[in-house]
Amino acid sequence: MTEFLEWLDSSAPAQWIKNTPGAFPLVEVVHVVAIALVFGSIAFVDLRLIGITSNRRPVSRLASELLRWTWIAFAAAVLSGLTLFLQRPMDYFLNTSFRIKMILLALAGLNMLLFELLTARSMRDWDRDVAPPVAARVAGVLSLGLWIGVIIAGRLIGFTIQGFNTPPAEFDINDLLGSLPLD
Amino acid sequence: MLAFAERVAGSGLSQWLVGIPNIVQIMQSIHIISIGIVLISVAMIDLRVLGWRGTSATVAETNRQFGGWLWLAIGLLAFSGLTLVLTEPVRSLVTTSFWVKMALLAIGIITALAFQASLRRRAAFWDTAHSRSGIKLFGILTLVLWLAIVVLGRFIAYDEQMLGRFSISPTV
Repeated sequence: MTEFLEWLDSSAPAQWIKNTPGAFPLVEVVHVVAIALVFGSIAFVDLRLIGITSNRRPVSRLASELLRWTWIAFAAAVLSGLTLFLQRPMDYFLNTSFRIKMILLALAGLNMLLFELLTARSMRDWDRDVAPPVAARVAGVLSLGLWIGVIIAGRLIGFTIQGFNTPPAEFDINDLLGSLPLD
Repeated sequence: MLAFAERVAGSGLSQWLVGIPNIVQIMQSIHIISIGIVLISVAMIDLRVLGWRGTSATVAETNRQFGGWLWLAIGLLAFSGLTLVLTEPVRSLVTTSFWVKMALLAIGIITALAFQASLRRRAAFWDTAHSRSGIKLFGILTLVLWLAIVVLGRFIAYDEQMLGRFSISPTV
């Protein structure tokens, strides 16, 4: 894993994000906008599944209108996220908030997969219901919670990653020499 | 501006907020979540006005579906944004990005209010308005406007780096 991360660290895109002035903030803006769009589009479908909003519209219609935006935005979020990751692959990989974010992301995907494979198969029966069946409502609540978790964990990365707020320790040749068995 | 921001930072309310653990992280998360709701609400209403999105619902119906969430999210943004400014007044107020963002936000809010007022009076007009080039431009511009507001919001943290000599941020 370490070797892979070091290889990533020296790759051409990594050099670009590290050495181009303003590149990191620009990619970060794309990432924030993309994640906001992913969340917003999913949230309206979730709220419909829970039975809170847009009750006059069939679930399937609302989902097909909104979820295409989810996928476009998700692709942009993944691409921009990978680019941000490349700036400091090792630091991100070791960061606990980053790991929690990835786990929550996987759980959100699993929740969606289970919903599509199980609950959504009978959607025709409850498409126009103001309050969809319990399984659909549970999927909606889980999805909302998991995506809010993804956003919180993501925001925490910037506050906890080594060196973003605390400057990295000055390199001191004596530290290195002192650690060598020279006697 | 720097003196004003420093006075805000010294106020009791600012001091109290700074003392709440993780207040910045919590408020920033609420801010991002609300941005998602605003962007999707604006996009759905705009795309319907532009006629690019399913015309199965009228503009008025689309506004009923998303308009309320838009204002709820703008309220949450105002609350979390104000808290963030009070927690870090110098870092946020002494930037060009912040003030340009506030100006654009004012335009965005006034535009949304005017649009909704017009929609109440002339619902039928808006349903077919997308054939007019002026309305098309209006729809596209409002989308770009809200995106610009979000981008400038993120630039507050990088004001000097991103805006260079246009930045009013004090050089550290």
